[in-house]
Amino acid sequence: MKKDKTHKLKLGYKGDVKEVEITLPDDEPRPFDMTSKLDIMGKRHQKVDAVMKVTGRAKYTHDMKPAGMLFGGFVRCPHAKANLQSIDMDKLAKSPGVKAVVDAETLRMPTTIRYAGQPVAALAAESRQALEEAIRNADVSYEVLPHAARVDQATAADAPQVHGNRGNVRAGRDPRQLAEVNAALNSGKLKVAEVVARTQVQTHSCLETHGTAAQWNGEHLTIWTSTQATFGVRGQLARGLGVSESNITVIGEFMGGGFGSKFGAGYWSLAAARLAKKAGAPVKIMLDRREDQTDTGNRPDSIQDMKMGVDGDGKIAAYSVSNTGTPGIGRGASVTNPMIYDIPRDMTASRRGEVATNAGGAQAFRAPGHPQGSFGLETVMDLAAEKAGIDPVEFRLRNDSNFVRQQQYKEGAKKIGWADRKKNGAATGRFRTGYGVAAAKWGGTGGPRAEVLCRITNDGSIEVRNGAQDLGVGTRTLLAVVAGEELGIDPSQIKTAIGNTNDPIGPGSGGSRTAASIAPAARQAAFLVGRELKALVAQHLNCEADDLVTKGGKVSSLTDGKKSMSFKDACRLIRQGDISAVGKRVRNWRDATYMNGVAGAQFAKVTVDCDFGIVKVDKLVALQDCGLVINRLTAEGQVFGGMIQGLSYALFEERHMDRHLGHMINSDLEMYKIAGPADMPEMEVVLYDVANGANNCSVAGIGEPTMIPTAAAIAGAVHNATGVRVTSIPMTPDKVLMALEEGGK
Amino acid sequence: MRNFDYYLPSTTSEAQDVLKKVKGARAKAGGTDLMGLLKDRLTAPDSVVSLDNVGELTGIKERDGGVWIGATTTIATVAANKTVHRGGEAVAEAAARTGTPLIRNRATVGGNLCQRPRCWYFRHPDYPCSKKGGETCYAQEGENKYHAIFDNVTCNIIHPSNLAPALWAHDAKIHVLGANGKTRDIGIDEFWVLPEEDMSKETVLEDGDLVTGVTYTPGGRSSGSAYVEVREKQSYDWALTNAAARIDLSGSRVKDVRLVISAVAPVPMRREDAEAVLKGKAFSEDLAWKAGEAAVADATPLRDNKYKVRLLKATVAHTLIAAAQRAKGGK
Ligand SMILES: Cc1cc2nc3c(=O)[nH]c(=O)nc-3n(C[C@H](O)[C@H](O)[C@H](O)COP(=O)(O)OP(=O)(O)OC[C@H]3O[C@@H](n4cnc5c(N)ncnc54)[C@H](O)[C@@H]3O)c2cc1C
Repeated sequence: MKKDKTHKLKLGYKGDVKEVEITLPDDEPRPFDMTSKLDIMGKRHQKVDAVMKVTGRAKYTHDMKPAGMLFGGFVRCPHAKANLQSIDMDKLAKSPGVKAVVDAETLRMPTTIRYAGQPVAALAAESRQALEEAIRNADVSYEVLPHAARVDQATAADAPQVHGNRGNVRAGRDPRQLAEVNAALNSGKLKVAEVVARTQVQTHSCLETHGTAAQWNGEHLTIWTSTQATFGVRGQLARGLGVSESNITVIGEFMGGGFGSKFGAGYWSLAAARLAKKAGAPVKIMLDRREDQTDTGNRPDSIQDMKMGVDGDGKIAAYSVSNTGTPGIGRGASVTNPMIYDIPRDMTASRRGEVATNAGGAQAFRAPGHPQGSFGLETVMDLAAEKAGIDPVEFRLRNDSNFVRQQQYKEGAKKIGWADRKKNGAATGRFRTGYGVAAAKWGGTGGPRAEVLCRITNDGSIEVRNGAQDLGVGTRTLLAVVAGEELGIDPSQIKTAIGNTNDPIGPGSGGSRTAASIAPAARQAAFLVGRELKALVAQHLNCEADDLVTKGGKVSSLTDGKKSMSFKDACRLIRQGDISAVGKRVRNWRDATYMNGVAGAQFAKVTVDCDFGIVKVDKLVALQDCGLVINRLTAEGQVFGGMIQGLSYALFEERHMDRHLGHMINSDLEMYKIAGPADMPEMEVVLYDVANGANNCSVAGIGEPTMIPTAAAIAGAVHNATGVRVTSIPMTPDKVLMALEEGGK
Repeated sequence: MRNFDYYLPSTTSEAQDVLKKVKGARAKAGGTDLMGLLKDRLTAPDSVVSLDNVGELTGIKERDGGVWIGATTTIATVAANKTVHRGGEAVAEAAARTGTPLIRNRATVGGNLCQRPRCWYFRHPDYPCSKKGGETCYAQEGENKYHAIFDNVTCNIIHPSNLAPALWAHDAKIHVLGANGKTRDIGIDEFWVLPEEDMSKETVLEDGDLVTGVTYTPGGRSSGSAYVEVREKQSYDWALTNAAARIDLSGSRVKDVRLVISAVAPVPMRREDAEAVLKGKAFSEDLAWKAGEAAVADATPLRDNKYKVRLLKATVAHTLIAAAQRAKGGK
């Protein structure tokens, strides 16, 4: 019988402490809080699979080559809008080397073409050459229709319709308080900043393209796939193929990046499975870079039309914002603006619209809606601060009551050298330096379902298993660190398994929830096996189990220094083989928490070459909370990665849609530009260890918030350096030079 | 990519033999451009002749007052070479700014001069553009942010090679072994072909021609050269504009000057009008900016590349300033 146990916890961060009492079943360990003395968690741990990765022993879906494997691929439509009239499937099937073909109907793919590159048939062949030849020689006929691949085309009068006759523009509703907000903005009593900010479409550009290998053994299907949701893929395949989930194993032990674009099984997985069945041989489909860039998702663009009014105290008193974005043929281009600042709700009027275009559909992308919203909001914030004559950091301190971010603004300003900041536009000469700031918030404290198996064997070995994937962030290592903390064992001594749906269930890696969902389950599993082990040791050493701790590779009595044995020896007390337990993620303890999300801020220092219009980021400082840190090394890695992706978004990345034939014209990694080593600034990461009390590890996600404010902080710094605001990203030389010219600089 | 026969000769004459005899054979040096062309089916030869084992085409030598660079010398070698750095600064800089370390270790000088343009319409398999025998230059009215601002009526490609303007600033000659077995030298000013002249190629080379090397004229004691390139990214990106200049000074007076601009037209362009602004005058930064103005005076930018005019002006000015600085002894 479970008994309840009451714990007194100290939650919060430095000067802001909240004492709470929480009653939990006794199969839950005492939650970590500000008083917890952690030996392993929060330290720096090399990834347990680092050596495998750098030596190439880690096998990705791209590397899979089951015996007899065929190469799968797609016939794709080269028109952005068309009706598929006919396709000669017999000819395709008879092409040299082709072993199986599947048509669009079987794959439940539409025959109405709505974007260039849409697949119309799948095939598998003996070699890549045979596959390519068959695709090149396919006989397909289309009724070609006028398209609206670009936003300017989709919003023009008489624009071709993307979805039936629905109209391309969904304007969004005017909020109730619009009149009141406008009245305040026009009252003459407020200092009002007004601006239209624009952000571009960003593609995920994962290093490993999307793809799947499928193999049938009788009725059982094994799928290797580059995914961020092994269990999600299993469910989708089961539904799509009419096969029960118990007959499908999804394996994704290593994957090369997802950023939100790899939740679904994808039509390529369904096609691979169907082709493999038909051909009686394993089939692998890896999309090539062009396919990946056009057809696996993207971050929608945005146009954000904003007005912000500031009162005499430097407080935001009224705000109106109207957003539109294009999700292509998909849904969900909404921009998260406003966010963060203490803008009175009843004096905020926000409207959200969407424009459909004949282009690849949007997918979730690292902090969906937020980086674009941040760029818009922080742009108008900086302009409002300028209008009100208030320093941008001071303006944020006045308008953001979050305690953690208050500390972050102050510390970040010191670290970047904000005191050296001149007034906007005061710098002269060819090279001008400036400073900028922006803020982030995110949820990501996790939740069910996640189950972790922990097993200790009488030879002293420890194993921790979960079937979810490691998005590349270090989830595998996290299992070892959390179990290691609970059992007092170095993580390098712990075996881990991840990325196979035969193991216990875990979450899809989205919303920065993986760590915060899995870690508490891993801790509970280790706690439960540790408790059983302690019971055996208590008997053996003749003491109370409650008096024992597992620490430093030993099981020892707290009260009697002589009663102690090594963990290994303790394991020998296990009579039959092993002890195992499954930890199950329970819901977050909402009423007892300090904070149910995370706080962050970033600062940028840039130098603008005003002759060439080049923005060089000199330094970025990120101050980020992710609850209590599990692995400082990989947590920092997430922040570095977020800043790099944010910098790349700020300065380089952009999908270019061609107006003629409607293709993404830079569907490669040459003219789709991503920051490289020489573009890197000095980067500093300061982690804020906030005991948030959301779960038994007080952990929250860090993957997404770290990309939110970077572009906005860089844009603020460019503004400060040059005195002109570049209101559109990426801030490429054409835009920088134009802004300088318009600003008379 | 289409299957092809692969030849691996070890001497120039063997290579030439295959190129001559096997119809449609293509030379492969580093392969950094050819691989992309093959994969995107911009070329589909029956045979590929690798120059990997042809040692005699590799090297850098001082010869008769010039500097000879073998065709298969890698760009990394050029960037690091002491002889090139002494008197051929623009060439060394252009090499150092090319691609990535990976590319520079593989890519060769000959291949660099013979590489095909990067226009995104030309490179995209689904665009039958005029350069591929089609009827339309999609860039003319389409997405032309990165396209030409000169000579951009029929085809809007920009010349891709970094080395070309730098070698031209040093009056280079290109050595060619023809299909007839005869060698000839082509002045770099005569090496390029405008789309109006022949849409199917960018150089005067004929089928079976093999570039064996280039020879450029290094600068003397009171001469300096420089190459300046503007690009969006500092790692692995193509030039938005670039320029190379060589200046010979007599005291502070400009005795002679070469100014070549590129990445702004289908071919690199020597700008004698801008050179004239400087010639015979005492060099000053002001004058360099005036030369920049002269260099862009007849630009005809398109909808999305007007910024390249302002950029080119600054590129020219900074190139000239850097070259003059070196000529004055501030190498
Ligand atoms: C990622 C990337 C970035 C790049 N960035 C830049 C850059 O910034 N600046 C720049 O200038 N270039 C850049 N390049 C282009 C690169 O410099 C060229 O691809 C390279 O120089 C070509 O040399 P190669 O030896 O690899 O030629 P190959 O690819 O082998 O050949 C290229 C062409 O030249 C022909 N050819 C080669 N050698 C001879 C010869 N001796 N005689 C006759 N024909 C010959 C081949 O038939 C082929 O048509 C970049 C390329 C890549 C892939």
